[in-house]
Amino acid sequence: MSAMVEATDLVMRFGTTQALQGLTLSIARGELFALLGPDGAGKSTFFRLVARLLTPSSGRVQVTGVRTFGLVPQRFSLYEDLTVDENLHLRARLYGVPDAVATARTADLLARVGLDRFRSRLAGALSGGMKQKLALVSALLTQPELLLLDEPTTGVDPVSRREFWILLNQLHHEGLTLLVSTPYMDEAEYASRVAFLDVGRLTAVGTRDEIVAAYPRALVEVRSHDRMQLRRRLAALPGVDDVSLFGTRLHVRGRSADGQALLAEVRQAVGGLVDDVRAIAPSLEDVFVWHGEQDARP
Amino acid sequence: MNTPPPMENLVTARGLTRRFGAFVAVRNIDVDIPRGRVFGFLGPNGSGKSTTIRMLAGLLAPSAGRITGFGGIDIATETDAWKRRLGYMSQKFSLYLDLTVEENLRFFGSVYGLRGGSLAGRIDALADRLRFHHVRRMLTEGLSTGLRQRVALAAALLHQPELLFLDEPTGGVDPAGRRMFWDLIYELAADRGMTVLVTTHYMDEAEQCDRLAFILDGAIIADGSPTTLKSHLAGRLFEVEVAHDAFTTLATLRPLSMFEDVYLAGRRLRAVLAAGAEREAIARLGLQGLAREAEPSLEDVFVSLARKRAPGAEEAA
Repeated sequence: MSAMVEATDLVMRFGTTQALQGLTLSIARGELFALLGPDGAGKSTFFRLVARLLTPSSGRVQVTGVRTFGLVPQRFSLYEDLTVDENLHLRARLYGVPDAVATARTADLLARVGLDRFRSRLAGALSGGMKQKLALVSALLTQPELLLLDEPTTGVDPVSRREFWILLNQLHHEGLTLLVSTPYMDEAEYASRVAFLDVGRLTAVGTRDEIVAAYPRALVEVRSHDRMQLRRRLAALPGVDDVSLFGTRLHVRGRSADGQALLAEVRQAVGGLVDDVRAIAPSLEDVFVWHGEQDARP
Repeated sequence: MNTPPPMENLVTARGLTRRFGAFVAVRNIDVDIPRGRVFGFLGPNGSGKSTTIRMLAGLLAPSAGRITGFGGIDIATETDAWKRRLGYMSQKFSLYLDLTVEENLRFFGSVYGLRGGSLAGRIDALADRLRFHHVRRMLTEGLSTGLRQRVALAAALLHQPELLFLDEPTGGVDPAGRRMFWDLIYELAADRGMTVLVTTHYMDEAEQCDRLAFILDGAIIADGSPTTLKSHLAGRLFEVEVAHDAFTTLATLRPLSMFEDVYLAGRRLRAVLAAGAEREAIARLGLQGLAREAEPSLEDVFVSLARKRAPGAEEAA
């Protein structure tokens, strides 16, 4: 696999803030690559550098085999006072897409995302999910080789989010290279590879399985109706390092990788109060919680 | 283990309706909000969640219906007494961007009649709990989304409200920030008996609510605990592990009418049988032995319920 995006010792400073502190990362052609990390980790800065909207303070980012790229930014950035059609027509003109080609491509893309019934609606009157689909269509109009999506589903309801991701899966299947950042860990599960970014540094990179395999601690899941009381009791155990809420379940993290010891300790502590206690493999969300604690952030 | 106290309703709404011109945003809703619990409103964009919350908070007058609570207060006649008992925070809630964090909190505290040592003490305690001491002297404008959201929550909690309204409070906030936020919400409900009313698009957050109401086109179409709501899909969700080319399998199964929904979750393909479809149909697809019944998530429930929306209804979004 050849590299499409190759960042080497990438540094970006804004005044005294270092948004990226020496990032080295390679993304291959055809990947669906997910960038994860807390607020201020440098994800959006990386997108802007790849898109050449910024020049790095030092280091470099090389983008190979990309004639045009598409960008779906975090904030809706099309014209709210223009219709769906007018927005797309304007973009096609700006990028020199011939009228006949633009017309055919617009019709095809709008049908794929289910927006063909709304062509004459003002963009400002679309729902959150529809706006993001329009932004996606607009980004695809120039037939990019690389698609950059910066938290595209924030504020979008679950139905639209699912439809949006089926589209991204389809584009990936058709060979497009996608780089996406997201605060939803379940979305990161779709990615061929995942990178965790924190305060401008890469803390982990690999396939989902590689990342999960590198998790250094034992993990036990407990189901209970009385989460708060149980959580305090478990957090006080000597072998327990952290207890996090996962919906109706608790994830109990040990101080070591010894799963048997942790399971025994938790079982003994909860006695008969609990429906279900079992050792589990970590999810990407567990990994995220773990990485979030490793760096003392300001 | 303590037995939970019996459910007592803090707020009761009957026949709640709100029209905007010819458009009916909320139609004839009955809802009871139990004291000391976390109550979630779910629904697609534009379904009427925020309108409902704004009416319950006394920010918007209903076109019809009645809201009472706090042991006998009627929102229509005693709006001020009502508002003093609640805190409100929304994604769009605006702190003053040209004031510092400290100035914002002092201002909101003074609006609620707090001053001097007690105000300073509460600001200290909240800054501690929500970890924003380091930005207290900074202009609000320069804060990240996550930090602004924590400060906005502090502003809504300063006067120690009995009822807290959260309207999509965590949009754009990273997972660590969302965890910190929810830990505090739970603590306030469990330890201080605060009642919380929340709308969210994050189904993992909804899963933590004690009780949920699903709103579609202005009406409550399902309600209950997360477990009750998930039982709607019991026996209808199947999961297949797909090693190669999951998307081709997805594209094959998706158009079949026996499925209400088929989607990818990483390398697993999840399929919801349409209501009334036979489970044997799975075997006929040659997926027997590969497909196993799976536990539905609240997101599966959400998608299934939202599909009941009248065709073309999203045009009103």
